[in-house]
Amino acid sequence: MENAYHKALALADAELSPAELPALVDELARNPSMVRALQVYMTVGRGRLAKTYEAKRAEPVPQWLIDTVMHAPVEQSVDRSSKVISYGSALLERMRRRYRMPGWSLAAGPAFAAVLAAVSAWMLVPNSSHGGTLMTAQLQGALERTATSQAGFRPLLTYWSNDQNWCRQFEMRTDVERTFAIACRADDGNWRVVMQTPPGSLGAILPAGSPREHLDRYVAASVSGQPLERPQVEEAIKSGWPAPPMAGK
Amino acid sequence: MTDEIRARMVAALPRLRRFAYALTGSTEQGDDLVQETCLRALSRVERWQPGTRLDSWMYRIAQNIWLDRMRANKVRGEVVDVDVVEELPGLDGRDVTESQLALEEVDAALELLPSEQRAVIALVCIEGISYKEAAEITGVPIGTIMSRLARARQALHAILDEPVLARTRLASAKTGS
Repeated sequence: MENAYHKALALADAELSPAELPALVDELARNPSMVRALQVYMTVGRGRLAKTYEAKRAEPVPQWLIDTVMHAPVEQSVDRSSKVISYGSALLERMRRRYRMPGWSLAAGPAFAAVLAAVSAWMLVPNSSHGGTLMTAQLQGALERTATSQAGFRPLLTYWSNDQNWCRQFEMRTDVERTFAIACRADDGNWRVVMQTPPGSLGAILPAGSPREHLDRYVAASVSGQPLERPQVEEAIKSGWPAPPMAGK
Repeated sequence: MTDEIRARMVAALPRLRRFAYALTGSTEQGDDLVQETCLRALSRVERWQPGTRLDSWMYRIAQNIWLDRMRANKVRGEVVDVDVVEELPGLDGRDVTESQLALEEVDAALELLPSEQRAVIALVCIEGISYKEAAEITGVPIGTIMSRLARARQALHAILDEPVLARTRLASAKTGS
């Protein structure tokens, strides 16, 4: 009997071969419940559902997604046992895995070198193996366009820095782990992570001198004026992150 | 070779995004799934056989990633971001078109289906893929594809026709209560 219902399904989906049609018609004449099933299959059929979703296909593909495809490295299998993985590299590997970062660099700008050197024990400053300075496109998008929390990303502070850049302190989290970081926006519109704490368990009590404190110290040392309130962040996002009037940039 | 594959991947993105949207019910999560699919495809590009359909291979990767996530969520429990609640429909006056409403209804109905049924609906009914191709992508026999399709459509029809009753019954079935 199930086979007969499958034929009714195939008829609704235009996948029934002509040779099978006569037997199905006979079955439909004998079996009112199969007629009802066919009506259901056709009501919630390919045409109706596909039409409902057609607008989604017509939506423009976000540029960051195209960038992912066009620029993400084609990773080759490597013998990991032969590599000495530094603290920073191991952390980056974990972050890539957890946040699906492509192999682009999380790079520190030279303007921050002095501060980074002072707290380098905590900082993630990986070398770029591809010579680029882009972060994951997804995180770029979140920093560029997000004023409030979204899945896995929570902006904490947004401010204009002494180095004449917009910077944002933020949290990234999974359901078990989280990390805090600061990223600054370069003139080319790309955000670069300048500091990042090692991932830690959710709910863990951070001891004095913790990585998070280093981030706060960095903010205190680099902030110019007051951090933005949420409406100001929204306005900055809307306006494409123009330099504030007092910056004279 | 890789450049050609990248170009073909970009060409497949609109369909892949729609498929991912149908699976996840959210543009953001769908794009996240598409991104992960592309990265995984690029990391295993040597496994794709020239002459076969690249988009089918990517559908398979996307579906596997998504099913893995669904299984992991079952173990860990669903996590809903707080800010998402503000955007839920029905909490305030909405000014949406009829087509958007229909999409929301179908999205909500799809979300109530078991993961495997949702995937097969997305492939066959939304992406227009044949039963045979859907069987290849999902790695199950055609008969299983058709059984899942039939059950999924009966459930969708019930939800869209009698939303309250069907949703309650399906939600109970999903949570095992």
